[in-house]
Amino acid sequence: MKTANTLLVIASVGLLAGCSNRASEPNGTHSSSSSSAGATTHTIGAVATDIAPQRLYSRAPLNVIAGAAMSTQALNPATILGDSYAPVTTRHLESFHHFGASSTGSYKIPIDTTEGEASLFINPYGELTATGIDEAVRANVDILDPNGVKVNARQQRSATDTGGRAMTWVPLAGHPAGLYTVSFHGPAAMDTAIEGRFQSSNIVMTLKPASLQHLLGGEQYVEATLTESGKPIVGAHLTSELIHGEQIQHLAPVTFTEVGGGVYRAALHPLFSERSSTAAYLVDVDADGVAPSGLAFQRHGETGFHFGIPTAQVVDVVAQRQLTNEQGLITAFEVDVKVQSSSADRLEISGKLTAVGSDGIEHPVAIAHFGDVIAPGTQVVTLTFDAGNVRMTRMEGDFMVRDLQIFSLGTNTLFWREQAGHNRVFSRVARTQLVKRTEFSGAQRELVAEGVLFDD
Amino acid sequence: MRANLKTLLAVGVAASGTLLAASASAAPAADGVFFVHGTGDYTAPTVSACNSGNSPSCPTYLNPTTGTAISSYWTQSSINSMIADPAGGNWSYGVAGYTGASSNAQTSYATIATQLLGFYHSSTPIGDIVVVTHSNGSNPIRYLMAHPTAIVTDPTWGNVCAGYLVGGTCTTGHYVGTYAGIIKKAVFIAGDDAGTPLADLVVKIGNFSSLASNIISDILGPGSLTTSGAIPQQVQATMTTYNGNGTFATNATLPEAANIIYGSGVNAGLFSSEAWCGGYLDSVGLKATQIIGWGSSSAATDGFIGTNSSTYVGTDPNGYGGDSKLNHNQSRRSCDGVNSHITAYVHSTLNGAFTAPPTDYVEPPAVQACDLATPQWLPSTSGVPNSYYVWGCTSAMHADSNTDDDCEAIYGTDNWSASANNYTVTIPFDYAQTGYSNPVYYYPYTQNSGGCSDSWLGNGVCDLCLLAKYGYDTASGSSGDDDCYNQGSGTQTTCADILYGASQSANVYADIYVSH
Repeated sequence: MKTANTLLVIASVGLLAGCSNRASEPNGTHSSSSSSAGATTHTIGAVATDIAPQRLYSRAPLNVIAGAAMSTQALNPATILGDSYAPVTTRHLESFHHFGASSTGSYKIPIDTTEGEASLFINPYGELTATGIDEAVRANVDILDPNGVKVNARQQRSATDTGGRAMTWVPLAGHPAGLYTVSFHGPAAMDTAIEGRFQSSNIVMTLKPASLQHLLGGEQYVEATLTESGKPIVGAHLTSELIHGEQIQHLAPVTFTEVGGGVYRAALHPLFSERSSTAAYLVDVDADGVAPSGLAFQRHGETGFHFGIPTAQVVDVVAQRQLTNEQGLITAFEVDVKVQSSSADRLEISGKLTAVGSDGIEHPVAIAHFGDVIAPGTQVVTLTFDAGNVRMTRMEGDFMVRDLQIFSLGTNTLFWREQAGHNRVFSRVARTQLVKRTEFSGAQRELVAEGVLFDD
Repeated sequence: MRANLKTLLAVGVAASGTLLAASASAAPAADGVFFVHGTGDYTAPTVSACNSGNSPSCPTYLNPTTGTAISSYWTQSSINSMIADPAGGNWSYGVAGYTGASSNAQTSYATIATQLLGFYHSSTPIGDIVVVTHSNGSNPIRYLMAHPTAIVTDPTWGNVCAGYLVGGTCTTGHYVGTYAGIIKKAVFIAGDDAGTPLADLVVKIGNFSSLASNIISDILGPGSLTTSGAIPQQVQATMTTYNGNGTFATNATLPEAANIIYGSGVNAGLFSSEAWCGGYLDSVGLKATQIIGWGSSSAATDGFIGTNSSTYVGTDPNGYGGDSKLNHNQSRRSCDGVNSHITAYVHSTLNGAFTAPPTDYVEPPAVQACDLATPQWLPSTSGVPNSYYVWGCTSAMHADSNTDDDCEAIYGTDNWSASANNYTVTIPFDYAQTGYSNPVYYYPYTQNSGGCSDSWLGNGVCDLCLLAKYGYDTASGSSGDDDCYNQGSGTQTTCADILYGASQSANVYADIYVSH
């Protein structure tokens, strides 16, 4: 049995250390370009994907729970800063024609190609009020090619095959392009959609929002570009609607104006106010016209963005520092972010650390989050990046603070994103200066196994 | 001075017994797989309210067999095939059931998190959890991963921060401390992470066309024919928005490992056995959507989503690639051997993480290798007396309502509650509430900013923090004695414990040499 006399205490490594040292750099480092241990500091300005309110608004209190929470995680350094932030340009080769219930008579629709798997689809929609009504709606429609040949006639398989059910999917191969006729035998019992897919067409409509996050007080545009084999299509007629994307409510028409070069632009911000719902929105676009080759066409597509009412923003990055242990090893990088809020909300402030890779591009190496209810006024919050995470990337040199962000957890809205991160830099950091992690998350273990991160 | 520690500890769950009993129940059943279904309103397994005074506290969340999430969405046989460890035996499992059609991911994540925490508490506790999702079930998990500072509700303890699930530091709610996250990996089966053209239809026409109606109701489940909730969320343009504005984690922001499994084709041939797996009519419906391009307009598709969506987030380190014989419905029904791919990914995360402690660890506290029961000042190696103080655990300390870490490590219990007639802290179940879980005692003294490290398992030093964490201190797969086994008279054990350091004026995690 042991006694007190048999007990000896020795310190573990660094046992005699006191509290962490804080090497404060209240003014930070603003470098345009400096060589260091294998990397170069990049100073960047505002970029197109930045999000910043023009002003802050007050809003009714949100039902959010207070209490601070933080997180620091490693990121995959194989990824690229800003990836997925940029609004996506979507490419559309579809058409959509809608015929209301009780439609009668004949209508012309343009088919610009029948190549490849070009197809039409006849789809009734709305409430199915009786069994088989959808089948009857399909059978009520004839679609004729420019030569008057019915294209939605099911081919007989044998002499006894009388044609069977009405067609939903109508392949167009073998028929000419041009104006097709949609003819109703009698009043349509339901709304009917004639959808077209033309994967081999040279006539393309692209859609792109100016930003994925529209904040009240700012401007938001959607751009449509029409081309045929790369040549601009001018004089097209665009009809469009703004749709509440989370409740599928058709809200208001959207007006596109031709700006030249096949580009058409619509201003969306006049359609929003403080009474607008915070939500994802869609812009549904139909374009009709004649291509340079003389082919008539119709194209349909959707793009989207999120709308929110901003109540917070980053005012400044007021300080940065490196935390070290008694051996002088860096245990964490910290930046103090001053946040201004106009209404209480649970805000998640985050930022990334990046380093310049051998490819000359900045790659994220770590991400830090801070979350709490931020009352109206200004408050300084600290983002803490675990240096052990950074060490695992084997990157060294200058570490840039990037992608400062405020995400409202109360409204799921991005209030702020600044890629430059006020160009705060932790300069000339060698890997040997960073403390080594001894415990790893699931993602880190995975990335170590894949050779992306390193546990040495 | 004991008050110093007291402030670090929270009230936990009572359980009788000592460290020995706790260690015996600590492993190895503590690996778990948690299933999250996709679009559709499905009921959760029937569970009883979590117990507030005993461990385990949420036993009914463990290995459930009821609820439509199991009976209609996954099927019990498919779950059984996905919890079979290729190395033998079954992992424990839990199942989420939630309004996956009428609620979008930004709402449903909270329900899922609560059920996941219930599953975590269902054993002693479930320590390493792999979340397996199908279809749109990936998005509530991606929301959690993107927002570690969100607040979710634990069925036993109330508010907790999401960092407890995905990694982070919580200063509010029940769990206060720094956590690596109980979710070790996500396996996204046919994840709908970039949306689907099938959902786009609802935007234009305000409802689903009749062909789609059949498919939606049959495959996506009840509640799917709505124009709010999960279906509009899966509109491609809307998913682009959510992926870009930080709502959902992407590969660039993913804190946890995520592996993907996906189909890339639909076989609906009447005489093909592959078409019948998971339901022939569903295969026919998905073949129709594939043919008319509703699965994807630009990529291979499983009939509902394109591979551009199912490969948007996560990695495929095993190189499984897309399965051309696996449609969207079949990928949740263990068809075409997909369950073996799922279990391989689960196995790679859970295998060996928890190993049963050696049987020779069973011994009374008095002969434990590191029985630091006596409070006392200790001399240092430099000869300076009164450098470090062992807090110890006297019978009085063990019997009072104060919290004493050494009592937890030595007896496995502490904080006697007269009203409950039981201890309110028991380890390893309440490890998170012990001082041993607080990184402040470790860094910078051990150069480990993460606190008590699993890398110390079986490293030759008996770490009392690992006793508190697991009930043992032995390396995974070890069949020999653990570090805390008393090797007998004349031997010496190196122990590590939280001591008060006079020169630091603080509690520090330090080594102690104990001679026997």
